[in-house]
Amino acid sequence: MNPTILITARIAAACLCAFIALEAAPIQIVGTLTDKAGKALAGEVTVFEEGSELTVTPYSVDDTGTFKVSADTQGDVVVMATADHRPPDERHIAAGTTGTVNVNFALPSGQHLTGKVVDAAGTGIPDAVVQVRYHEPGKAIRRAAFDAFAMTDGDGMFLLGHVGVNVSFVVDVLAPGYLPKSSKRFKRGPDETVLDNIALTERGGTVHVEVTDASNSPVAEAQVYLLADPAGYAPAERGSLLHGRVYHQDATTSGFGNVRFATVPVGRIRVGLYDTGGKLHTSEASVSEGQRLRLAIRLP
Amino acid sequence: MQLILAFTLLLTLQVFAPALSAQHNEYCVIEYSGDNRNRTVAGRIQAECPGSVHSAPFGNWGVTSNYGHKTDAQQFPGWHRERIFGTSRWSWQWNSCTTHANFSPPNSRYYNANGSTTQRSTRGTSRHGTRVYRVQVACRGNHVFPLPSNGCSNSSVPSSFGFSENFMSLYELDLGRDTLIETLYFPGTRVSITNCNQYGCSGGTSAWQDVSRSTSSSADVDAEMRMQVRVRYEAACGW
Repeated sequence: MNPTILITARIAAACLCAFIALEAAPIQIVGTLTDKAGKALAGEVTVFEEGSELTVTPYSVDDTGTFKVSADTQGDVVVMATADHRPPDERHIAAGTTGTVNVNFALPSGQHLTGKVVDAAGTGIPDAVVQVRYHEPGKAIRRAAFDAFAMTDGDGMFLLGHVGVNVSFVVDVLAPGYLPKSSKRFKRGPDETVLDNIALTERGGTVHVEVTDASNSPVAEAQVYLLADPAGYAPAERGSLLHGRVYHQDATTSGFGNVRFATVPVGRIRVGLYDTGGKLHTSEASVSEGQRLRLAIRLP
Repeated sequence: MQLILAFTLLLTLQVFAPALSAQHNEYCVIEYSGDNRNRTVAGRIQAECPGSVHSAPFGNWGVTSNYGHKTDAQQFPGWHRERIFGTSRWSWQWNSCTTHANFSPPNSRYYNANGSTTQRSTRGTSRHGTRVYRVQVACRGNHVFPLPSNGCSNSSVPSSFGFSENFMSLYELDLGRDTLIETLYFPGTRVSITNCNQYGCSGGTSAWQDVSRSTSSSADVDAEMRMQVRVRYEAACGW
């Protein structure tokens, strides 16, 4: 194809996409909120309307389990459904959608589950954050409908509330001094309320960063960011809210101009900070399990 | 000719980058929380009365709101410290049976304000829920051909986050037999999202809001609420 024609076609396509994206489109969202057996539920439907301003509108759903709300699809719209004692769910409506959109939610019943986070020796790990994440192959990563966090007690035990019955899920775990981990996949029937132990073994590396100015003096009170390359993210870990916390860390330099990042994931990392002029200065390296790495950033 | 080909390649990457990396996205995570303070309770409350399951009249309250669901976590603490029934834990509770003659006002044992006719929390500001919302930002590259990311400075990140209206449904918590006290509604809240860079943005806190309406004409619960917003980057694709 003639390159000129190709370029023209691509510019036209880009303009068309931009026009569609900017067009505000009111829609009606009509739907039902039920349990898995189709019985109507009372609860809430929350509509997230994206755009230059993100507006969120909660609606009550009465015990008829039906709702009819309007939204603007200038940007993507996410509809989240919640009901007492049940796990939440969500649906995505693409920007530019018009007319009436049917959105039906069938929320599973929920139950409390107990489990334990342990180290390699089987000893309970306290103060670990745990969160249920539903295993939904082929579906978009959730944007709004997340289960609540729980914390492990002094013996490493945790209690998760309102976890979906007969639904496939994993438990994400983040504990001090350990890399985050996703459990194997669980599916629990009614009254099957105990989970297998989740063992944490990997601790990642430690990265010290020293920040100096042009005269080699330490720079205090500077905010330093660390990004770990999530290329090593297992597909099953995508969607976790906990894993991202170690892939992106930030800290402020001490009076000696240094910061220390612990539990840094193995693989490529990038540390950086913005100078007073807003310019980003970075340093890249690679981290292995158990390594103590020292990096220096010198500001001009 | 080489210049045209290079330009074509550049344009292709710019225009169709999202399509190239359709399976790879990163996110800016908006964490939004609801706080409450200046809690007072008066009027007719009939939730923890003699003849019901246990220790009248004090009860532990929870909140279902646009920031989360009710849970036993001091979401709406009262003023009277009492052990939670059936546990070894303590919580700050409310007289939840003001309709009974034994517990009605005025009575300094069951009311601590306005001449022993009203209950006023002594516990300051309390958080009644936190939720997160992910704004999807398309990666500018993929694992085969990574490009530097804009992170949270991407134009998909909104300039503000807000609710058109806020609500708090108050419950007396009772081991699966929770009793709805009433629902309080508050005006909308909005917080600007500013100073975005690759790693996050500055959020903020809304002004305190007063109750605008409620669902009960007999219970007289009052409080103020506000919203706090934080924005952080969540890496989820290669670079």
